[in-house]
Amino acid sequence: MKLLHGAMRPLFVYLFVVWCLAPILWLVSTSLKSDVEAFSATPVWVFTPQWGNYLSAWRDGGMSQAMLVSATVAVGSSVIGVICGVPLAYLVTQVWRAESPASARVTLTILLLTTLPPILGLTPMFRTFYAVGMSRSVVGIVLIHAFYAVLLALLIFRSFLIGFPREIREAGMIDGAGEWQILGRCILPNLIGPMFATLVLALIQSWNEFLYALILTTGDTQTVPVRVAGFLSFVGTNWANLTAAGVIATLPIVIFALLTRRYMAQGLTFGGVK
Amino acid sequence: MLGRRLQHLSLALPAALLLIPFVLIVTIGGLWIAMHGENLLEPGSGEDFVGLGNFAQAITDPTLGTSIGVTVAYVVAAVLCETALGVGVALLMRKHFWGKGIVRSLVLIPMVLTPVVAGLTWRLLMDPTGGTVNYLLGLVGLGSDHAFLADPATALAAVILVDVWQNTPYVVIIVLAGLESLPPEPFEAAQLDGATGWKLFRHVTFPMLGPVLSIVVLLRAIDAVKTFALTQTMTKGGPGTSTLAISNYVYRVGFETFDIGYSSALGLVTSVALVVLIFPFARRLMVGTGAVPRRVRGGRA
Repeated sequence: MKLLHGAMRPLFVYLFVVWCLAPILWLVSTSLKSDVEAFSATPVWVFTPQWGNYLSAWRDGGMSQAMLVSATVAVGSSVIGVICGVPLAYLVTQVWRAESPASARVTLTILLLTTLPPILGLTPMFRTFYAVGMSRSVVGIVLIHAFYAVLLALLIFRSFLIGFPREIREAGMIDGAGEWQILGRCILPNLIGPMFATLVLALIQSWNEFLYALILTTGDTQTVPVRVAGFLSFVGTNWANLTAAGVIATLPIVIFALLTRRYMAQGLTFGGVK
Repeated sequence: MLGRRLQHLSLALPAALLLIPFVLIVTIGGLWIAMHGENLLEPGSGEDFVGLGNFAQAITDPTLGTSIGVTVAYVVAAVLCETALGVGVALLMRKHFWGKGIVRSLVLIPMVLTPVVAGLTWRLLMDPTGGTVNYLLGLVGLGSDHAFLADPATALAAVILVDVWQNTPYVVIIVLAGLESLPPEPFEAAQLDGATGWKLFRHVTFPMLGPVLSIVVLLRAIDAVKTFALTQTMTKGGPGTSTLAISNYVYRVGFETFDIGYSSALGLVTSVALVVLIFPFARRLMVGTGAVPRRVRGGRA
């Protein structure tokens, strides 16, 4: 235990940071090597950066199209998720008391849907979208990601609204405002931060989702994870291009995550930790 | 009051419009496909009614048994390691040290990394010929030609290691936030009584962290049970069935052998089992932490 005190303490933390970041740094460095250097048996430490890897991943590897699709799907589904989830969260925390049976029933239903594994919907969704001719558009995947975004938005936003003073709604009602007006004008302006955090967590969830995207998107509608995974079979093991695609895929969400670090703990546990 | 009632309904309407059709498609559609034994490679196979045959087959399917075993091993090992390591690091990070703010941001990165990218990165690192892990092991004399992902003896452990790498930061972030929200008085009192180090952790910190730890373990377990992207990109469930988690098996049956009828039945059976196993914990653990209210049953609102 002595070791864990004093000057040694941060040292272990720094070691943990190295363990967390080393694979990612290796990913970035591999993405700048030539294909021979990337797959050499003894690691190459000094090399001329091959920025062309990024160009070929972006253009020939189709990452530009996949990024466009993923951005559309992620933004579309998280905005739908927030628009659907936030009013419901307002209903079950402010309009109904959070302790009321009706509120508990809604929340437990959402919790149940969150617990269900996505594989359950795999074949029915595939079959349905195929039957209604949506298998070649991004609408299907947007709707599915929106479904999961609603669950996320409700659970996260509920945790932020549960501690919100109910007097504000009461004051609004005395002024004769409707529920939507109270939500939009009196409550949401106070919760811009949490709203942004909810949006970002939904964006990350959609951006990273692989199972549904794998079966519901093909060719031009492939999302980023599907396209990156496709590098394995398309280009054999062109690790330089594959890792460049991986870096491109990762960059946007890392930036987003760092922007919302402050709300991470509360958002990620649905209010279990403040 | 009719106006108010309608307004309340309108607040739930957008979510209901999205959630209810989805739930109906998944349940009714899933049952329909499972009971019709549709195979995408055999046109017209969806028209024959096969009843509960697929469910009977699923219950006695030895591969399903194997994949449940793989999933249980994966969830238990990954969540245990993540919790132990995560709590340890969070305790070390509690006090102020140089660079704490930056460290807090940096450890977020593996956690938000696209799982497909994480899987491929580690697949590169663990490659038997070009992989850096083998090179490093060779440097310390442990042999440099391990095919970690192609060897049934090590493949599952290798995939679990990547899950631990990716998700330990989640535990760190949340436990650290939990630690920082604890009141300082019990610690001061215990220290006055002479408690330090392990004793302080065992009798003061750990009990106070209980609720936070339960939630972390629960949410990690719910997530780990659904694992697909890591196993699919690193091993595709192989070699053989050694890393075939439930999701990989259902995917394999449905979209590699195209027996979507049987795939639906497998999905339904495992989902029911999972919900029966996990949901009571979820419900109990989320109670009283602000996530779900304490009193669930009772009169009308």
